[in-house]
Amino acid sequence: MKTNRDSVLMDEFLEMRQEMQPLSGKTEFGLWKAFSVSPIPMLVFSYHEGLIFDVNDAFTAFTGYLPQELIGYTGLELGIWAKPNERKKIIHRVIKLQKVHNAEVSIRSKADKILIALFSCEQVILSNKPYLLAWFVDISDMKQEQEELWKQKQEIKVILENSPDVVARIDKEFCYRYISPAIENLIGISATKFIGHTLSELGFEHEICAQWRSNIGQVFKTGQKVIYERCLRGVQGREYYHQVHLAPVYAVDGSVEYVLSHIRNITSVKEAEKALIKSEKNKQRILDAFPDLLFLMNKSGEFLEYQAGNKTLLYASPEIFMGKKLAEVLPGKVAEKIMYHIECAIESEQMQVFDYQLMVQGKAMTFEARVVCANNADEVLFIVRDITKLKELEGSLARFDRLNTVGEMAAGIAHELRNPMTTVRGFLQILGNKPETRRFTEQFTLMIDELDRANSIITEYLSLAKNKVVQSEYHNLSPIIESLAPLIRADATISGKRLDLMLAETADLIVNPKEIRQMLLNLARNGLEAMQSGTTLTIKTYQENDEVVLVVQDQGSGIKKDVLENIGTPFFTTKDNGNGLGLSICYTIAAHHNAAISIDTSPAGTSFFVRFKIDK
Amino acid sequence: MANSKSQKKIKILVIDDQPGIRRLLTEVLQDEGYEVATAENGYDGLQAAKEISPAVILMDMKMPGMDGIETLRELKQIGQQDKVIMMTAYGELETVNQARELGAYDYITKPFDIIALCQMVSERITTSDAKNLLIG
Repeated sequence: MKTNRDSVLMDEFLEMRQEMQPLSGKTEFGLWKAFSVSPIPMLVFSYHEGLIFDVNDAFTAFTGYLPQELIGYTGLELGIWAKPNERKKIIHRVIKLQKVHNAEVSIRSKADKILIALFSCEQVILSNKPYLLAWFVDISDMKQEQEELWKQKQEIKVILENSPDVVARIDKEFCYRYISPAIENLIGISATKFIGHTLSELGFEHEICAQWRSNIGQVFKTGQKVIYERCLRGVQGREYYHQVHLAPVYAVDGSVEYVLSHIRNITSVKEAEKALIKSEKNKQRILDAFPDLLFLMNKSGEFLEYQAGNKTLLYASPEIFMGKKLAEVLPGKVAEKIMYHIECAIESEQMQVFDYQLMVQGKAMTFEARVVCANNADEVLFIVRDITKLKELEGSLARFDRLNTVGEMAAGIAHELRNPMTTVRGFLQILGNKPETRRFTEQFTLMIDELDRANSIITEYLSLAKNKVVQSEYHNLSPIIESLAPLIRADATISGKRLDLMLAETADLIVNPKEIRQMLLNLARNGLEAMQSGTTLTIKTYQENDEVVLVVQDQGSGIKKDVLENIGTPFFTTKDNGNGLGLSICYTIAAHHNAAISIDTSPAGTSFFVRFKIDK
Repeated sequence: MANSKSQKKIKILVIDDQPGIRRLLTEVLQDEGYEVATAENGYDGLQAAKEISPAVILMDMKMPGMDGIETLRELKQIGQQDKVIMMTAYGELETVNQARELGAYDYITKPFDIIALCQMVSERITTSDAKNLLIG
């Protein structure tokens, strides 16, 4: 807005213009016009006093002052110079050179804002008077941008130099232009050694360099990011894994100017991965060694996965059952039972344990199954254990328990028999000594002897039943056999069989008499049970080389081949009420005595030989 | 025999639940000149022991109700354990040792030889006689 003062000035100016030399009036007016409309903030002030003579619109816009607030004043008066020192310097230069170009100055606007500008001025003569024409280039925005940029640069630098990751800039020559200091931590080579060099020049393994060069080449060529992993071998053979990101940085023309490489140390990740794989492998090994069958099934009883340490337990081969439902593979009732427990497990979220029987490869087997929920009850783990043997043992044990009870009862009865025997024996003794019975003395003596024999049978029986510990000592087999003979003979006589003893003179052996009695009794019982009435069981001893041989020879019908193979296996029996322990105990006892049992069998009978080594 | 007819008869107590044994021992010991009292269980035996204070007590180990060991323990309370000869049909070391620890004089296994039994009884009487002599 032009004010009155403006027009007054204009008149004065026009007057002065008349005096101005050598500029022609028109030209001066043209100059003034140019001054006035120039987008560059400009002002004219008197050379000596520094009084502002004129300003253009751009200047008023620049400083926020109106022309009338400026004209006739000095910049110093108005406080335009934010840093008065800068003005002083400029004055010095003007005195010296009559001009100043592009001096950076700080200008205070009317709104008290500090503006950064490049100040230039030159002397002009108006109406034979010296003036200074000054103009400003506002660089405030540029300055601010520069500052921002510098801050950003600083930030990036701080980030780069403090990140555990490595960032590098690689040029078209494959030379490092920049690499962050973290590289030293990563591979032990300082960042400065990289600058201006390729990876191969730094002495890395050929393979690593070739991979690196090819990948960087590809980024330059395609402009596409490349991500790859590499493994470096460090000291003591330790392996370091890096994940490398290569990204293009474009020039203005759109071509790839250089490649930014970002390297991350993933060794710990890789090591954890390896450890996981290892632990997975170990788990697998454990599962492989597991005797149980493991199945993963879905809710509807479909086989999803399986694990069988012992494939012979599988009802069908995996190709047949995988992906099929229980009912399609197993017999209806078994499948139903399992399905029921699967539903229970899902409903109750509790492990279900149950047994079931199944014919596997022609053998009736008992399995114990466990069902547990897996994967949020969408699936179930079905764990199957073969408990066939256990069930058989349980059965045998129950039989054995019954036998034990019967045995204990028999022991009690044997004891109780001794009471009446005492009375009978006592009265026999009294009566036998009376004068009236003198002619029957022999018979009385015989009755008493028979009673004593009955008692010795009881004693022998009880010595077997009792759990008393007998130490191994030097014994001769003959007295042991003789002491047991009444019991065996009693057993034989009941079923109309005979017992023969053929005991030779043999060396003493270190034996446990109780165990020998047990073995002899078991062998003799087996022999007697195999025999028809009217036949004879023979117990023989003889000495052969450095062995004492005990033979229990029956006249039974011999042992069949398939039975012979299993003989001595605990709980293996061919008898209806046998516990399958008799012979296995014999084998155990023979082993205790370092003796060997051999069998000679034919349809005419069987002989068990127990060979004891004579200690020298 | 050690006892003469002029002297008062020596008393023997038999404790056994078996009537046959009681009858046998009564006859045998009476023949030997002893006075025999019998009891068919530990409780009655204990009462009899208190009343007659016998020279020897023949007692079965295994009896219904109060068994031999328990009765022996009670007899010990009245100081009569050392005249007890235990009779056992079991001959089990544990019980025998227990009886010995409680201070029983001896034990004999059933069925026994009556002569051996009589000897054991008379031995017990002789030792107690000797003790009395020493004290007297």
